Amino acid sequence: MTPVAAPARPAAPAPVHARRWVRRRRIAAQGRVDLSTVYAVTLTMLMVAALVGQPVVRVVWPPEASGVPTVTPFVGAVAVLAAFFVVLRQLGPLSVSRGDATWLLLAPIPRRTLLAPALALTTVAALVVGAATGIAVTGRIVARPAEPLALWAGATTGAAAAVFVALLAIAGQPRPAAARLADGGGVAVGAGSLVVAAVLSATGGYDLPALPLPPVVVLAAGAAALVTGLFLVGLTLRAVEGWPAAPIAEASINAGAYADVAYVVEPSYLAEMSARRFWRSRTRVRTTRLLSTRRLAPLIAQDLIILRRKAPRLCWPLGAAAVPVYLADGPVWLLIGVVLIGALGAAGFTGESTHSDAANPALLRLLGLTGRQVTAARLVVPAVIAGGWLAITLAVLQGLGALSGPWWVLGLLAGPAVAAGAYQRAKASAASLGPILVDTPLGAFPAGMLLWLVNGVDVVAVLTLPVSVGLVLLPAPEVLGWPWLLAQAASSVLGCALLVRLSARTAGSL
Amino acid sequence: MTVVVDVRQVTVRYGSTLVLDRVDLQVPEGGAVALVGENGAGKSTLLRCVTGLQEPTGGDISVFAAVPGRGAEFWRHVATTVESPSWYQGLTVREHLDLVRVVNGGDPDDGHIDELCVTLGLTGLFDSLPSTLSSGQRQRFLLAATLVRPSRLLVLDEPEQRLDTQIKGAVAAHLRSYVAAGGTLVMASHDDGFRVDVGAGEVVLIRPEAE
Repeated sequence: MTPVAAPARPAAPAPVHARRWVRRRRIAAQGRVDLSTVYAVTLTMLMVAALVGQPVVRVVWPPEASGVPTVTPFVGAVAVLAAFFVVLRQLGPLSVSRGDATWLLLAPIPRRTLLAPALALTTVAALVVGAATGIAVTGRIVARPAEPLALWAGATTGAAAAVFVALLAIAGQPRPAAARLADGGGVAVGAGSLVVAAVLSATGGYDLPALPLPPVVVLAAGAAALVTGLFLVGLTLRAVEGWPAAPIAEASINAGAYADVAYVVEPSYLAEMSARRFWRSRTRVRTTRLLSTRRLAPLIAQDLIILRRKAPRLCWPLGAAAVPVYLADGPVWLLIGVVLIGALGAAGFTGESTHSDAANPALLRLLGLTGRQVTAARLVVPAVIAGGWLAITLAVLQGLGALSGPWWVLGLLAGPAVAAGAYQRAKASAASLGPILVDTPLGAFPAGMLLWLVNGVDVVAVLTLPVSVGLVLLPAPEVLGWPWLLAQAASSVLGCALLVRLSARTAGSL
Repeated sequence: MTVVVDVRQVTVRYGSTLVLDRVDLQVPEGGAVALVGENGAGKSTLLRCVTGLQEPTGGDISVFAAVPGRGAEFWRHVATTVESPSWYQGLTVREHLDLVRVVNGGDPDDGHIDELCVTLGLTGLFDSLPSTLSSGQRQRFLLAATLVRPSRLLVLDEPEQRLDTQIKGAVAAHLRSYVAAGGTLVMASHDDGFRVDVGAGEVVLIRPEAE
């Protein structure tokens, strides 16, 4: 028998060679960076700088400052850093392109080489965000003319803080359970800071004692912290070698999906992706008996099951119900906008099923239900949620003395009208709304996204006119009368009836 | 005997490609036929036409003496696996099956769902969300959702696909009893043994170019 030689073990390719080879192939296929792309990007950056540069500079470095340090800028900085943390966690933060995730992530190539660009980008972003935040805080607590040392102290300390926030986000990536807790903490700290900042603004702020430390000490401490942070970034680059592939692959898929959203201008992808991530993280779902007992209409029972499972997310609409309180003394148009859009958001809580049926009606055919039956059933739970949300919000405004009369009843009656808008919104994606391209000086832009932004809002604006007009015409001590309630009830019934009537009479479409 | 599916001289073209060329098919009530033929012979296309999900280029199709796919009444009688639904993300496998059965007027607690899930090996997956199922499990889940609802005509596209031998035998037995109880079955199949077990007559489709 002829001996068979064992196949030679292939030598691991040098990572630099692999990346170089991939880059060469990419250039061969797509060519080098196009000059017109460079031109377009530079022009866009210049235009953005020209358009929003001045206001941004004013926000970061206001021309006037009292020189009396208050707590508010520090609370604002905490909110910015918390938001930065949440954004980093949403992006990964360490991810690679989809192609690299498929071909290079699982190849015998050191992770370090693969992830160094993402780590560098995250660090630079942290330095920029942190320095800008630090300068913004300094700009609000230092009297003019400010000495450059104070500016440097603020920038360095801010940058160091942001680098530590980025390190925390990176550390969470391979530890999903701990990261979920950190995510909740990030959102809570961010939202809490906003509430505290709002309360401080409303009450006139809280002055700090004069800075006990000279700027040079702050600068030295900030610089030391920054150096430590950057050293830890270096250590992280070594640590990624031991990371499992899954968190990097998942982050890469997410980053790719965000790129898709930006590229095809289809924001409804974001909602779908967020829903997918939410349901994937639910590991303790148990079948309920709500459907099999047949006490409720099946699609209403379905919405109630979803509502119960999404209970952890209810804190968003509940928190949002407090926002109009801060606007009670502000411009009435802003109050109306926040009240109606908040109610629309709450009503859209169970909208995933409608969105999924509109995109692929195969399940509707399996159920054998007509569009009208589905529409009628899917309005019930959102109507109750929106009605409840509006009733709470308007009752709180009433409690503050901004309104008088049975406003909470008006809120309840407006629920079905808002549900009609939310249903309309859940049905559509940007692509389905407007494939028409609008020509702009910067190139063609799909109209779908603009239409998507206002989709459903228009329906709500028309159907809840009694609420909006009431908020304009009837500030306390004017009392809301029953004709307003009657008008809202009629508008809600008419809106829902029209929506059901306009739905398909056949199965398999809404 | 009443003809449930009546296909006469149906032609389907995709651009310049002729997929079905003047095909005839009559299936009586309580009958079972399996469309067989090589890949590209037009089996799935004919099934889509029968369910009204695709308009033929030429010819006539009637199902229950009406144009297929129109109205909720059609979908109350016809259950199909020709298209894959995107399942509701927040409902478990068992809740989906309950929903399908309740909406179609069935009793989810009459033991039918349990029996079918034992046959299809789905009992351990009741609390799973559909997005966590493997492709094979999804195929069995779709079959279960199609079979738990009351129907008079089943249109199945390769129901034996990705099933292991034991489950395949159980599915064949289930379909055979469906037909014995008066149901009508039209399916596409690549597995002759499975077709024989179901007791379905063979209808051979040939790619028009190969004629």
